[in-house]
Amino acid sequence: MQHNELIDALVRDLRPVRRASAATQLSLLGAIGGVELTLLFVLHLTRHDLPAALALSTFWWKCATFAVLALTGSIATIRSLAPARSPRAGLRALGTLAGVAAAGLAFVAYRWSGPASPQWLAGFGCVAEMLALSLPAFAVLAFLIRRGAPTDTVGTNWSSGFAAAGWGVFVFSFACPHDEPAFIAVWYPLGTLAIAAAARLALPRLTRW
Amino acid sequence: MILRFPASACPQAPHADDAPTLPDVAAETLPDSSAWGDLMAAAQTGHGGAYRRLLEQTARWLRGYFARRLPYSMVDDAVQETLLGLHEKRHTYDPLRPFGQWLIAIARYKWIDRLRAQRTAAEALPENLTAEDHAPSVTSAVVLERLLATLNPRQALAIRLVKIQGLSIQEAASRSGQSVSLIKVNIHRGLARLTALVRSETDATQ
Repeated sequence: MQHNELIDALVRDLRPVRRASAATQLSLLGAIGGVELTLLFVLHLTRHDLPAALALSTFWWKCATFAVLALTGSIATIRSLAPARSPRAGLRALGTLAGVAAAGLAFVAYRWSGPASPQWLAGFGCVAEMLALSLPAFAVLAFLIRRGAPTDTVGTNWSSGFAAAGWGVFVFSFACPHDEPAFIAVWYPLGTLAIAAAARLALPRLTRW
Repeated sequence: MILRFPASACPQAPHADDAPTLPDVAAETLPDSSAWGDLMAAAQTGHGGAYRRLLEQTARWLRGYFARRLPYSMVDDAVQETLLGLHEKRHTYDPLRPFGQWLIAIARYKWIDRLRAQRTAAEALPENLTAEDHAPSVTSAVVLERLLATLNPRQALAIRLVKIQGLSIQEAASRSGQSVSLIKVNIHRGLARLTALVRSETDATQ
């Protein structure tokens, strides 16, 4: 019988394993986001006018959009960790989300009565903060991907990049003092795409198995 | 019991850059995939006997799978690669889902990965291999790389780490993620293959 040596080695190497659980993996990501947000409040790093911001539609647009992005991207990534599953449906959902979010922001912008000009220089700092805040989620996703068995590695890399961006930007929205729709329309998508592209570049070595 | 799916022509090899899509279960015939699922579920709890039966049966099936898709000389390595992948990723199998889809997805991934590696190895070889000052050492290094490229990636990695970089078996195991016994198996089989390859090339030139 061919491959006897290998089969013997694999049987000798056999240990009980804990099956991958999507619920556990998603909870882990949620916990990381929760810890980040808690630290933001504990260290007084939230925007100083947070109570007043709760009355602004742009604040809720930021929170809702990127919470949904984080959740959708995370679910797409976690599903793709099984070899027989593809993240493409999740990526299509993300595309739909982008369209809905853009329409929502356009509606908010139409009704906006505050300052209209984006603060360009501050935007670079915001993108840097988004990147930094996405790192914990990115690390958890990289760990999950490494343990998983994705077969559509390109799709998994993109979905995990968007998931990490979603978590990072969601937390960032509690610290960002800028509510102008034009600023949000420029820097938030830029930050999201930058994080997703960075993940796409960084992950291939991890996703191969 | 043989489970037969709607027949189709033997699938053509996809372009190596294409991202894999859902497995083409419809083109494959899997003997009693539900029984294999039960064996894998038992193996996930550490049942060695069930695992051995599963590996032996899937190895036979994988030979047929890769024989339809790869040159004969690559079939054994592809089967080994897939068995290793099945072993490392066995925790991703969900007993509530068909084992056949899970196995085919892994086999297809390894198939495409092998095609990609072969294509990269062919493109990486420059036409002018020598330089006047250090031709012998460059030639030796290139020849060695060409030989190692004919091995499956895990065998090549094990040989590089232990025989070329001089790591111990334990160090190589921790660096590569393979167990100590797998490192030894891969070195043994890799060197045997290299020896056979060098002998066959020597015979051909005489």
